[in-house]
Amino acid sequence: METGAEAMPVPDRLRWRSRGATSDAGDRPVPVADAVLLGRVADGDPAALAALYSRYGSRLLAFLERYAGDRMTAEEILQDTLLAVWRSAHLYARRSGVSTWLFGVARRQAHNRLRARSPELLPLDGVAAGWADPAPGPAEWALANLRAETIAEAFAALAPHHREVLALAFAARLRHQEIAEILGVPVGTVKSRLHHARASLGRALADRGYAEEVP
Amino acid sequence: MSAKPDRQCPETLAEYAAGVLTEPERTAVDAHLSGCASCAATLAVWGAVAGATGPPVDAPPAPASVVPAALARAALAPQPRPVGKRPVGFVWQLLRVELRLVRPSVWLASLVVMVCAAALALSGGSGAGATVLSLVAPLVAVAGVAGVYGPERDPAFEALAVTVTSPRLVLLARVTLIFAYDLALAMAASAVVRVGAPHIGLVDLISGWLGPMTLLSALSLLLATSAGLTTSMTVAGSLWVLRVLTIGVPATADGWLAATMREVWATNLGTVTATLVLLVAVVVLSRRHLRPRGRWPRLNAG
Repeated sequence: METGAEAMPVPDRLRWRSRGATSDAGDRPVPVADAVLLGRVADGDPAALAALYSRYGSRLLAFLERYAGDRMTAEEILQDTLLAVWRSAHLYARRSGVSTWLFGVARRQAHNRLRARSPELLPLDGVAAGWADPAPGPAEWALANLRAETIAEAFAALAPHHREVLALAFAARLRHQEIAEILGVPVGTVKSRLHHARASLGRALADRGYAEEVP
Repeated sequence: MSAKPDRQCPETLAEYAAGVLTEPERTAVDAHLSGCASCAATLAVWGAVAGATGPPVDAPPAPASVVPAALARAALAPQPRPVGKRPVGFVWQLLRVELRLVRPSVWLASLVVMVCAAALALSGGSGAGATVLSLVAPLVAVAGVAGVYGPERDPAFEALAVTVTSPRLVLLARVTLIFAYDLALAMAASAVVRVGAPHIGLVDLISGWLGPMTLLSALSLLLATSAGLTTSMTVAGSLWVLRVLTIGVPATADGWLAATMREVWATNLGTVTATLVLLVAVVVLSRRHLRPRGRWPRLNAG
């Protein structure tokens, strides 16, 4: 949903630049080589898979570790991901960037492995949860003064789709446009889902007794 | 102070906190932040979130360990062939494989019973041949077909339950094999009886057992796949005993039951239609029933 974007318009100058930066990928020197590497993987070249892993392994693992909650599971899913990439590289159709495609594969593998662990919670972006206020609420102000470990604890208890979007944004450090492509939702939904996730984090911490006066 | 941002506030604060903005974007946000306390506070919140959910500090495993492990898995567990695209000759291949999985005793028992029946038919007086064959051939086919699939009788049942080929297809392949075999046996027995007793027409001989054999087999197959082997054999056996009695006991030969039995257990359009209906029911119902019952925990229950 786009209400978040409508409520807080960006100056045209900024909007234009952020769009241009992600669509033509001019600021990243590797996309062409990525697609070539993936083509070699499709042809059965293990060295190409290793090269892709060298480029994206740490970000994929960062996403998976935050999303799955522990390092061991994350490494297992990472291996599942490499296996899936090895087997389905020929299906890559260049409709998205290689990075987006890789994260999409990793996300599916994570879902496969984590589905057994907890029941699927469907994201209700703005449907039941209401409009996501881009400005932090009272409970969220407390976040700024808490230790990272405390926040991380509350983060681990969030709903999967909230952990997912936060992990993609901050652990994998992806642009919102890329996250939107990976999740298959409009970029406005990514922003509102992030706001909801932050609000849930604030509520979870308030429930644990961490609260602060509104500044 | 108001928590609502004014209309000029950038919506890239989360990306700013994640450190993914381009240099010009950063500069623009920086310029805005210096004059907007609300955005600076929001950024502080995003900064805290980024700090807690950012990349973990441990380095990822080296490619030299991860990539070979994934490739080894790829080699050890070959990718299952997509079910949609079956190679040419798949049916033939499936039949050949299933041929090996049917117990030898099934073939042997059918053969022995049919040989006995043929011997009995030949040794009996005139007219006995048709009756004997019409009573025995359907029973042989029913016994084979009903027991051909299911946890009770199948040594490979557990393995088959997890293969790519659907249980339905396996079932149909086996039934085809068994039924074709029993059909051939009954045909051979008919030919032998015909040679031994030339006054009986071959068509009469065959039509004596063909209709009942297909109908009873289809019924027992439906019951075996939906209600289990025991139920199937009990029902099929009872029906058949009823038929044998109405033929064999002269006192019952004129009753309404005997008339019904003659009508039902014959080779005519009615029995052919009924057989087809039952086979369709088998295929439709097998989607639900061809699952292991009770033995294993349901994988999707948790």
